[in-house]
Amino acid sequence: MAEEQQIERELVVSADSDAVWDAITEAELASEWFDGEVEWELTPGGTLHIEGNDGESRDGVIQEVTPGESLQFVWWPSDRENEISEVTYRIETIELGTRFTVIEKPLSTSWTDADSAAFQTFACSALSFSA
Amino acid sequence: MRIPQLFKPSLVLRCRSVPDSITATFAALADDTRRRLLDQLSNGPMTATQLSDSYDMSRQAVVKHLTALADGGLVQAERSGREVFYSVVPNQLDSAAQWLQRTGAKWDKRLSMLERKLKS
Repeated sequence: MAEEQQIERELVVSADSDAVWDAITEAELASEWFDGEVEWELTPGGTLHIEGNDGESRDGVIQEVTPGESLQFVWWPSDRENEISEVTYRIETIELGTRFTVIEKPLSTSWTDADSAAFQTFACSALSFSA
Repeated sequence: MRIPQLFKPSLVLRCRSVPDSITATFAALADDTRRRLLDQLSNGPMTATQLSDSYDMSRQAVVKHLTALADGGLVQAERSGREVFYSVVPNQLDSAAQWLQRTGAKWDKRLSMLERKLKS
């Protein structure tokens, strides 16, 4: 269940991996495609703030940085601090150029505990039968 | 910037196993009156006073039951002016589907922008 509750997207481009790494990590370049103003300190424990063009801002913390290869951070909408998710960027050099993979998965929201939700549904139906 | 309390690893872990909340959910449902109140609230939000009128119960007793339902994660309270409205917590699995849909759409948009930038 947990595996299904995540977003995974990939983009294959002919650009070389350094160009892709710069485009996704340099705040100024990232702001050009992120649909928002990206500010972050690219080091584990560094903070991030993204002022979305749609009016939604997000805060977060950088977790891991492996230059040229991967980046991981956690973030949440600034006005809903309990909706934390983890984003992983991965870059691989492939025959066609570069593959950029993004994975985002929720860490802590009101509904991430799928077992608990299923149990509640079960408990509801079990009790209504016995009533 | 403030790091949310939930980001503390021990709390995230507790949030994921939730034995306490399951017990609370069971306790909340193990009562005929509470199941009736929950059923009534599934038609729309109501105040404790409105519920006490329809069920011929004291407001105090209704609030006690609503608190148990809220502890079990089944109802939520929302203040509107001087009144507090109680409503059924929306289906958690639906919320998950919405999150996936919304988050996926955002990444689709961002990646198509990125693709355009890298091509130019």
